[in-house]
Amino acid sequence: MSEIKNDQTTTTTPRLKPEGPWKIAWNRFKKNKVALVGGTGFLLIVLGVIVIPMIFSFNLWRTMELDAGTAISSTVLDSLDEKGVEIDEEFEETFFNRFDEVVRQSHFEDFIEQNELDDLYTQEDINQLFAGEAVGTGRIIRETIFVNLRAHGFELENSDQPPSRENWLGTDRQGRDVMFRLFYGGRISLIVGLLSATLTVSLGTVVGGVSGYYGGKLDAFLMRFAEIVQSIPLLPMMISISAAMRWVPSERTLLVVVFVVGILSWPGLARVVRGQILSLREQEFMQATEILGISDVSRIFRHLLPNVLAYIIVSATLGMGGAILLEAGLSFLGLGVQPPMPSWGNMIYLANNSTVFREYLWMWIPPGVMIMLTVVSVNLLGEGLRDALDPKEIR
Amino acid sequence: MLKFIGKRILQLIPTLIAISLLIFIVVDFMPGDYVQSYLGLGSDVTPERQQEIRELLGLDRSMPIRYLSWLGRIVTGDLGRSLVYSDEVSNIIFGFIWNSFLLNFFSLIIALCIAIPVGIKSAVKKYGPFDNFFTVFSLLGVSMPTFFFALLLIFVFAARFEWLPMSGMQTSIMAIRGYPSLWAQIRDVGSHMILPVTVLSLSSLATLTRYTRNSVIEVINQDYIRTARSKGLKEKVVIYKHAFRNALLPLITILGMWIPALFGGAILLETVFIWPGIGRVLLRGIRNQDLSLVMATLVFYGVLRVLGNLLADISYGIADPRVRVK
Amino acid sequence: MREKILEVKNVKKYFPVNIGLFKKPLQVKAVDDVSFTMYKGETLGLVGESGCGKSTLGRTIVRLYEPTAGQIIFKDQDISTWKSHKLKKLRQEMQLIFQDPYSSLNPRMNVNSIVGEAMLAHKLVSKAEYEDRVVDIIEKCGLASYHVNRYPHQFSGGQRQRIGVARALALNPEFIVADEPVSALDVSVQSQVLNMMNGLKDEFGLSYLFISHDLSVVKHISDRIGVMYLGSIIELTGKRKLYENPLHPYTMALMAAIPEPDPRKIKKMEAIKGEIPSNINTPSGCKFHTRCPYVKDICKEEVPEFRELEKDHFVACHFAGEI
Repeated sequence: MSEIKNDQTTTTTPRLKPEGPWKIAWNRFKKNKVALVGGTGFLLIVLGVIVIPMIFSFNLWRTMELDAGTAISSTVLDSLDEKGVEIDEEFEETFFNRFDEVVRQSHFEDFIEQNELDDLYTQEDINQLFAGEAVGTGRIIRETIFVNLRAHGFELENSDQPPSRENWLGTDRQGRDVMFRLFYGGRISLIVGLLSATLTVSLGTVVGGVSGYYGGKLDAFLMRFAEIVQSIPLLPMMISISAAMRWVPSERTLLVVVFVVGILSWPGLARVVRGQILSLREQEFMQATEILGISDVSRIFRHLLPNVLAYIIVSATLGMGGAILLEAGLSFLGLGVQPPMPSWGNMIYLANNSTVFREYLWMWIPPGVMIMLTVVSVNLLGEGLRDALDPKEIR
Repeated sequence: MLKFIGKRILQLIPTLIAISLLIFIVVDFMPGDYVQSYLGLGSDVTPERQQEIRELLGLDRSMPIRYLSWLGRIVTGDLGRSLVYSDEVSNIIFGFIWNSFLLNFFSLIIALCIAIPVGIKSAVKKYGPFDNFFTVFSLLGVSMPTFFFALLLIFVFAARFEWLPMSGMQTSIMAIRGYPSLWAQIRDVGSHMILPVTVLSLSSLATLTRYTRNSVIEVINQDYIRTARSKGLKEKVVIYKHAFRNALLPLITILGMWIPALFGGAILLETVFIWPGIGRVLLRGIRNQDLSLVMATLVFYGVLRVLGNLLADISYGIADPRVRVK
Repeated sequence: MREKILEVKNVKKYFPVNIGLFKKPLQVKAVDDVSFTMYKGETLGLVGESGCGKSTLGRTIVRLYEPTAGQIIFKDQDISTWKSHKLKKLRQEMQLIFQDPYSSLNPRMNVNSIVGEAMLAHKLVSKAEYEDRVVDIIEKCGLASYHVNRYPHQFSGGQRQRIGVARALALNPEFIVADEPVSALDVSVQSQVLNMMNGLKDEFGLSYLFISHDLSVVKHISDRIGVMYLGSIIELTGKRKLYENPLHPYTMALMAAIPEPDPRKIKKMEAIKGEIPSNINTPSGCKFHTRCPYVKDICKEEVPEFRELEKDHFVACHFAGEI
């Protein structure tokens, strides 16, 4: 038998660049036209959502102005002026400076009294205006203005306008630029989608990972727990939890939405991760790490995790699509992101009003279309990733 | 086999208890005082009297005790009384679920009738134009927010062209006055059903077609199909007699899971179409803080889901004997 | 005098099998009372049919499993009950080569990491030296230096096994259990890998416990050979003696079953009757009695002792030497 020391079955030259499994997957992904479309689409949307509000930020005051800030106060001042209240510079300055403060009911009452505006705003008016106090300063102000100005025959200029050169997608019921809100709301919807998906994926990975790695009683317990969570009816429970958390201050409602959307969908991924880890543990290379004396931590992070990563990435991407849809549904019911913070879902909420539904199409159709485009892109991207990362092909 | 089913049913019970506990805790957190809601805003019942009523109803006891007493009542069938509908909750639930069932059932049938042949053809002509078209179609279906799609359809068919009614299950006037005939009632309800059923079936269509397609593809690649072909059988026979039967198996498993779900209302859709189903009942209950109604309805949804899982497990057990011997 | 490196004394490894919630679990007797000694610098071949327990024995010896009973004495230390802390140190002296070249290497790590990982984990080299040392080892295993950055899927089966061997050598062990290292390879490649292993043995002063189901492979590489049946070693002796003078009926049948290429030496091939019994309900007495052509009553009742019948020739049969 000849002594062939060097194995000469490969014909590759030394200079060939080695292709790791990630590079191979990336090449495969690039070849998938549909996935590329999805990927680019999604990137465009993300870009748009970041950049467009910045470009159009001159509208920021006009859109957000009704939620807080000096411009609102100037509208109030305008209305006071129209009613013949004398407004001098001092009054105006005090008003500007104290507006936020003033908006609490007691302060408003004081303000009215101190400035002798009693016949403009009766006590009953004030009570009515502040009936929704628990919901946050911004909302009060908006509703204050709205109710108040309507009551005094003052229509908000520029509201309900169809698309024009100034407002490319028209204005909404409060005169805010729809296109700006669309993309600003896009930020919110995407962030909620991203954070929820992250929550779900983290929970699923940790539970599945711990379950698969340690096995035994812990495994049995965790899987039982996952089964219970999976038996919870998704939308009904989400709606209920949302309704139950109404006491949360308005700045934090975003977090509540993220929590609600993300907390119930993890069992599926947990099962997959656990299954993958169980099958990996039987692979001889895992036994090899044991015989080589590699530490537990190393085993989890250098050996198990990279092989599970593929599933996690795909799940995160597809999960984000689902999360965006769920947030939209919740907000549409009024139980998700609360106005004045825009989100695609709560913009469609406007369609509940029959006038808006029939006449003001520019207010509720664009957000729906955006949702669809985003979720389609994300799903295409996710499917493409899944095909590219399929571990069965990596051999 | 019976042992297997029995074991699974036994495992259900802790799950149901856990879910009921979760429901109770969540609903307990909802803002609003039961007594005040019951009496109505602006009633002139004194706070002291309100407190008396609270004690009478046992609302001041600790959470665990209230939970257990509620659980006891639920289990014996006493679901409480609804504030919104002024009726026994059990009557309400079992009354409204049939409306939801109507929608779900027809949607499922239609979806199946379309999905199965489409799925099979897609599988047989894999990656061909037919398949590609429906793949894209499925993807769109899954990515579309259903309530938005519903709004669009209503806009086009009801608002703009007025071919179909905008919402509800029946034309109110006719419902109140009474229908001249059964046929007239069927026609009326039917016309109201067209849009919601379309939307509902489209969303399940996407998943069902994919599922059938993948299942058939897997079966077609098996060796025994090649054997059937090599026997000289006609392709049609090969597909329908051999492949189809086996591909159907996983489908049946899924369907088993969906049967209990037929009684659960799609909350979003029922809201958009103002369809008087159980989903809408839940939402109304939540908005009006009708706690007994909400809790009982949530439990109902939970039971449906758990039953669905049970049926799925049983079908797996029937289909694959290995699962039984665990 | 030959230096002992390993003593296995009455080692048993049983695995419990659950058959019901309320019934006591049954035991799979994978390794059932095995004793033998190994000497420094030798290659001990371990053969047997699938399921006879040779892999389990190998892994128990390197303490991937803890023995259910018995002692494992490695270099005069009883390692049978050592726990993880001490075992980690032991890894630098005992290693294992795996059977399947396709699943024994992490597909997402390159050769550099696969071979070098253990070195870093045990802090044997600094980060600076480690790649040099990796290249050094893989070259000794017949690979080239430019292979370090490649990934397992870019290699053939034979090459992957070389990587596996290199990995085992990384910690500079003295004793290596090779669990069917060439069984998954093409015959032409087998000899290359075997020769490489022999060369390494001389260069590094290794001792091998070489497990295989293939008699011809074992013959090529071993000094002594042990034959296992259903969890026990039934014969153990030098290579020549085993082939020239097998004493156990099972061994004799195995030898007779080896195809003889020379048409002039036509042997009578007698198949072993019957099937392998289960290793949960093992036969009473001598485990081979159900298939032995020479079975007598005593074989069914008494377990034969594994004794040294002639110098360096151990057999477990009541009638060894008389058949």
